[in-house]
Amino acid sequence: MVENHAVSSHGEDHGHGSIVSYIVGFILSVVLTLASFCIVLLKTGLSNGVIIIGLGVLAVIQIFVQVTFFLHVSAAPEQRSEVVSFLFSVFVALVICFGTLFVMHNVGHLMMSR
Amino acid sequence: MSENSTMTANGGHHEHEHENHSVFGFWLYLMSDCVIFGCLFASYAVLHGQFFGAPTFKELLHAGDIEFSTVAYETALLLLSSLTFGFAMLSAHKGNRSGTLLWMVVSAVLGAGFLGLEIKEFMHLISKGATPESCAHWSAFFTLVGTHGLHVTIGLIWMIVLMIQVATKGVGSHMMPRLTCLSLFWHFLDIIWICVFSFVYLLSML
Repeated sequence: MVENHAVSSHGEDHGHGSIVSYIVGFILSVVLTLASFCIVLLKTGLSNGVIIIGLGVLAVIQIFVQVTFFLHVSAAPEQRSEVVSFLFSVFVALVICFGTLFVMHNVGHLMMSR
Repeated sequence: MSENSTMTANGGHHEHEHENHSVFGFWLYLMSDCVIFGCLFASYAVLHGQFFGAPTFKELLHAGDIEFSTVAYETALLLLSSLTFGFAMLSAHKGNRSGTLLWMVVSAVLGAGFLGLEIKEFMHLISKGATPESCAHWSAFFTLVGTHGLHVTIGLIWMIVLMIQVATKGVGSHMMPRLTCLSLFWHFLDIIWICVFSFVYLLSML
């Protein structure tokens, strides 16, 4: 708390970010977005599996960039509850997505629907 | 309004704590929203490709009814809007009322541009027979992308309300939790859009 006040008294509280952090986050996001569009649009000759993994990796990196530079969530001790709740909800969302895909894939096999 | 008076009566320390609590509460709401989008992505992942006679994504793409450029413009508008709202927050932290208002207007215009493009795209898809009731794929598609669009609409209404409040009340400490919550919401929507353009649009184009 004390530290926080001391920093915010000269205007640049690390919890609020600075103009530099927003611009760095923006430029990184633009680069990552362009990369995602390019691996799909340019005929790179990569197999679909590789492109899907590539899109996933680029999306995860960009989410990390935006959470860091735009939402200002960091590993700082006073933000532990934000980080823990974020990681938990991401975990639940991933379990829902991959769990659903896994179950429905097996259903498709067992019912011989496809 | 009674909250405000207690806050000032209790002094700066409690005010700061109050701000942290309401912002953290809003953060938890966003996390539950994250799970909602997880469910919608899961249902899209299962149902995609099941067209049942309705026009498929690729047919519409080859006929020029779905364009890469629309998705690219939407992405650019939402990302720029996220950046300009960041600038609005920086102005607000400096106590600069006109700067905050200016950047909020810019963000709202960019957000409205995104929404306009999305509505135009939806209308076009529906006119080509790709309606939500036509098949499982388009049902899941419209539910997922439409829920994101609905969030953007609510964010825009919220932004307009806060612009009026900033114009009349300034950017004092009582406004900061409200502006911080909206900034979290607005950046969060941009993060959801990363998943939408990657896994809904770009994957369907393979």
